Amino acid sequence: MTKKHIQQIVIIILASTLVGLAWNARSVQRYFKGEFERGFLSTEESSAIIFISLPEAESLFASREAVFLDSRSIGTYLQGYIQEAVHVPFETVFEVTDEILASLPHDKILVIYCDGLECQSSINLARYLFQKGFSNLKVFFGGWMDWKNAGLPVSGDDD
Amino acid sequence: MMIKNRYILHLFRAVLGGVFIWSGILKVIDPMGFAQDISNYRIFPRILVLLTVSVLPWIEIFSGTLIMVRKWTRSSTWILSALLIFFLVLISVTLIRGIDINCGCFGPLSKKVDYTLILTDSVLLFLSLNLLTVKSSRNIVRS
Repeated sequence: MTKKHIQQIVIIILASTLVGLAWNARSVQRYFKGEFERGFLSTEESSAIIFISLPEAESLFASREAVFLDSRSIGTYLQGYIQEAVHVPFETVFEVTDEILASLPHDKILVIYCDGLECQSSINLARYLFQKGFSNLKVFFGGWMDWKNAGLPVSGDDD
Repeated sequence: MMIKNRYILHLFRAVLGGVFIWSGILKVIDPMGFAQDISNYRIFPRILVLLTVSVLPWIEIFSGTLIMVRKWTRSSTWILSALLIFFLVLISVTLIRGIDINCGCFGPLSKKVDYTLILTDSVLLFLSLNLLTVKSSRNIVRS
């Protein structure tokens, strides 16, 4: 690699940076507004997928307005899950079958959760369900850990 | 084993450039999907995810195009080789960690991270390293 090549590489990277940041200017603005702290959602997805915390999850559970979806693997689900939560595993992609999709209600709020703050499968599942036409989605980001630590109703082996 | 036949090298350039242009365009179309795919690797901080999402697809598109039109071929091939090595390391680490995620390599058409991805990347790396080892394609045309 000669000096000329290094110069050309720098030019290509700089040009890509300029075009890329200009192209994504809106996303950059949204980033600095703090919109991506929990996950990267497009503006359309952001209008349909709402992040909720424990008190909201608890009140939706109590009022029975929502169906809870557990996006963790079968092993972790069976060890314990939010009472009556439906298992819709999304640890692996393309796992949600048409039968599962058909069984989910369109007229209720879907509250999706996984382990807790570090897991991404709840938000991945929410994006997927949004693409499949569901528009009343909430991601309970504190997930199983928050729910269990708060001593709220659970089912499974941990009972 | 390096291939020097200029027709085969043309083919290599077309394949390598084409694959990267295609993958870049798919990422440009769905930046948030690509961002979420990178977040799923759970290695990169958010600001770096945003930077990667903004810049990487254009590096792929520009380098791929330059290789195809044979301008700054060597520099572009260096860039794509470096990217391929980085992808190989990232995929290997992901497989070793055992996390089951979408690779993000082809935007919305991405597949799961698995061993076939290592094979695909290795083939592309072979093409690009082969192009780098050929002294200069124009000299070969003359000789």
